[in-house]
Amino acid sequence: MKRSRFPVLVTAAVLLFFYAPIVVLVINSFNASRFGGSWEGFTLKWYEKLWNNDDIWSALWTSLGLATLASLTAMVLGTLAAFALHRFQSRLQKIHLGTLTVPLVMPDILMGISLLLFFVALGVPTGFTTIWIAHVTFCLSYVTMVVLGRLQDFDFTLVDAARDLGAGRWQTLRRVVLPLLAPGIIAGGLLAFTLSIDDFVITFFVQGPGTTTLTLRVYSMMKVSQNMPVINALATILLALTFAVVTLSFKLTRKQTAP
Amino acid sequence: MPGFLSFENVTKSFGAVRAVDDVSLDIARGEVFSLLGPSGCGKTTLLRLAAGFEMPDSGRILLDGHDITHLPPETRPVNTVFQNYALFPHLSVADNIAFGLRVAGRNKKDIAREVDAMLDLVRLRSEAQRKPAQLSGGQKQRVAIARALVNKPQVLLLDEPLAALDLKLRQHMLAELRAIHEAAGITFIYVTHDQTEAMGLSDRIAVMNAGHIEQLGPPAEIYDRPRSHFVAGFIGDANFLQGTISAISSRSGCEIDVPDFGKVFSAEQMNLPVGTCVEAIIRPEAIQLLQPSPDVSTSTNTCDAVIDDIIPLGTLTRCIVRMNGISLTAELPRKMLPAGVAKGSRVLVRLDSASVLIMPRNDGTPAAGNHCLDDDKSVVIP
Amino acid sequence: MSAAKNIPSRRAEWLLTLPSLGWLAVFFVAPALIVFLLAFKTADATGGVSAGWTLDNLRALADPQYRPILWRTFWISGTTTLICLVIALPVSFAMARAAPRWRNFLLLLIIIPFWTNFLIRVFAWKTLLQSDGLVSQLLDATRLFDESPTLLYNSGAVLLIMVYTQLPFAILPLYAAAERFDFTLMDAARDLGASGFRAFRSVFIPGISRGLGAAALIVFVATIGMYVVPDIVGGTDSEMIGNKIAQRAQGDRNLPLASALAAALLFCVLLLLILCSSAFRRSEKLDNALKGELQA
Ligand SMILES: Nc1ncnc2c1ncn2[C@@H]1O[C@H](COP(=O)(O)OP(=O)(O)OP(=O)(O)O)[C@@H](O)[C@H]1O
Ligand SMILES: [Mg+2]
Repeated sequence: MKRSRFPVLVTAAVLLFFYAPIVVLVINSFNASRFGGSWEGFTLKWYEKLWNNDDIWSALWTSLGLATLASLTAMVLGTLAAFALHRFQSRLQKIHLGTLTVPLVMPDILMGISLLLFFVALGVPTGFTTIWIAHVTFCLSYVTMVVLGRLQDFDFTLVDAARDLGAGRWQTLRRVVLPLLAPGIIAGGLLAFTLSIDDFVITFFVQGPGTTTLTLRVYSMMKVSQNMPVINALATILLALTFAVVTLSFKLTRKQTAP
Repeated sequence: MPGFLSFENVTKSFGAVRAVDDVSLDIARGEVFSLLGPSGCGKTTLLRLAAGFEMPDSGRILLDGHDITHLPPETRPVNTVFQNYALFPHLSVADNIAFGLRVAGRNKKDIAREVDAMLDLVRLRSEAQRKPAQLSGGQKQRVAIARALVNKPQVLLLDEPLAALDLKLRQHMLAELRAIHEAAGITFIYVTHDQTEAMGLSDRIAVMNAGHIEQLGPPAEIYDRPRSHFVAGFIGDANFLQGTISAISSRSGCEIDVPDFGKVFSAEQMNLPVGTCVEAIIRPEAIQLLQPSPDVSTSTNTCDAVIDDIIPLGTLTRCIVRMNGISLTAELPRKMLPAGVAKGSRVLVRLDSASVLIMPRNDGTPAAGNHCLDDDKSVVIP
Repeated sequence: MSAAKNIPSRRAEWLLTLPSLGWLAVFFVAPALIVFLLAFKTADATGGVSAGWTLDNLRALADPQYRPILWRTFWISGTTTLICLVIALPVSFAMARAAPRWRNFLLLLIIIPFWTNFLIRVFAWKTLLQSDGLVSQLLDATRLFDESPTLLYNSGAVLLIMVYTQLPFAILPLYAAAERFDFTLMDAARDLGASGFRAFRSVFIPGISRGLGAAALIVFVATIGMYVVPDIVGGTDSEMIGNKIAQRAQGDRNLPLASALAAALLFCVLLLLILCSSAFRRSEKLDNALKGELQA
């Protein structure tokens, strides 16, 4: 009985489809040609332009600060939520789980517009704070799910063991529970961090004057200035960073094996 | 005698299940006390009550005269060796052992010294820096014991500590546990459902069933003088014969009438009237098999039988013998078998009257004739 | 007695639950309700919301300006979903049948684009498809067309890039289902005389139907709310409802109208979620009933 090659061929084609545009983009970031249609020699001048672009630098710092704050907040809220979901089986937790699941499938644009309307209705001026709130809102569910997955593998007799050996609640948390869950919580935080850095649509709605994130800046460069090669260079750097973060969180979420 | 660790009418329910049902128990200082019973009978729950992981619904728990019923686990001078060891996977062997001392805020030098002493006691000095995932089952088990013992608990609770080990290692660890108990001299409460473990280790055993204690006593007494059908069946193998008391002699014992077998005499002194429905319990090794000969066949405690099956067990041989409607299991050394017996041979069965135990059936209600006999006249619990 | 034990644990449950539930109640549930509320308000001149109530915004949805856009949103999303599923099916099949080492590697390869910034992925296509970009140069080289066709700013480009961005979301749930699929069933079908394709169609596809449902839902819901793709590579004849919401909200600042459009979209999404979750629950119940019968 011969197995059909067809699925394998489709898979290969899909991978080509996925990576060809990205590879072309990376190559073009080193291309001296301004429009990238043909190869006109190797250059680093786009990276140099990027380096000297103050707007991008300030947008980068805004994004990093925002992502750090948002992911830390989501880590704390999400960890508490995961504990609640794991420990208790009540009606309250059913509602809790439902409320945490819907944001995962809600289209970005609805989350963005509804938050904007909410802030306008309350008379809250949009800006850094409103972006932070929006980012925590959409990261929270992801962090919760990652930590919850980790908790399901957690052996709760270890808590009994720690109490038995004389550790109080706080010491048990600090010496046993948190160290063992740390990889999961950090992986959740990294996910939140990348989601926050990556977000454009929701940020677009709740942005305010004076706060420009990296994606907002990239968008305006794409729409307005035709400064394509600089965007290529920026995209290449972001790609490299994303790969690093993905690899790291892949290592963290994999089951801990003895060194 | 007031115990060192006492349970007073302790009851604990989970929903409709009474996991521990009005248990009162006194455990002496320094003894190895075993809780033995089938799965789900409440052994772990009783241990968790002593450790402080569960609070009783009613009753008290006293340690050395102090009421500890409502103390949280971390403040009780009691430590547990968990069934799956519950070693902290992120800490090395040495750090696992040091855990209790660290949370107690002891100084670094003391901790290092005591951890070293423990590593020597359980012979894990060369594994001190390994993580639990890099240890064998027996080594993990020793770390779990060391981690508990280093806190110098007044009572060590062990919940089926050997259940996860294979037979050879289990026998070895049993010997080690005995040695550790001798060296440390503290009270052990040992939970198991393996009777040979309990017999080999304990000063006293409590046999539990459905949340209450069926019988409590030294291992030999529990084996030789089970006080209930459940205990007799659970500890060791037993043959059960149903009968009625037909005669009583105040000095030498009583005689019971067992249908299909005949008269059975027991040396046990029973305060039961003639006509009581009783159950005779006979251990397999208390049954002798003899060459059939006409002169002994009529006497008490003997009966003609046919060999149904012969199963060699190593040093002993197990024979299933059948007489009329009942069958008995006998175990005896090979050389005690009558010469040339085989499946289908006729033999003479003799019960050792000193080893026939008698206990009332169905609360011992006296009944006329043989009313109390039901269809299955003999139950053999292998 | 057990009540006494329940009180602190009840309090612990609330302490653990309240931060996240409270946050989402305020910043997720309340805003969603406000969307429905503001749809009945009138706009004021400064881009805010005035006090009066009106049904005009809902009427505007039937306006010739918006009706075709609603239709287009649905057909682009539907077509994208269909294409994604058709491509994802053989891919998930091939991945699930691959050797375990390959499987994880392939999974990683599928996930990486999904972690790459969305704007950048769309932008990469824009460079490829622009008038003197690589693709048009390749097309010119084939000399199939007298005049090189415009590749950007039309519905075709929107569809292509939608599929590009959504394909990982279709592959992942399908792969998760296919990984759990018992492939000896395929062999059994072949053994009974079915062709490879026949076995794929009548054994594999029904076997992973739940993953198929999940993939369809995820892709469809994500695409009907799409804004970036039509905005960057689409033209005026390929606008979707998301573009209109953004224009009303951030362009000419008519928030009540944006709210009415969002309410219509939110209504569709919630309806879909409710339908799917009840369908899922029904199929789960059926599963359990079947299992119970087998055990009996
Ligand atoms: N946390 C709990 N919630 C509900 N029921 C429980 C709980 N812990 C124990 N039980 C029930 O209490 C009874 C006694 O359980 P326990 O664990 O004490 O048994 P055990 O004697 O240790 O059994 P095993 O030999 O299988 O370990 C069982 O019926 C069990 O189902
Ligand atoms: Mg147990």
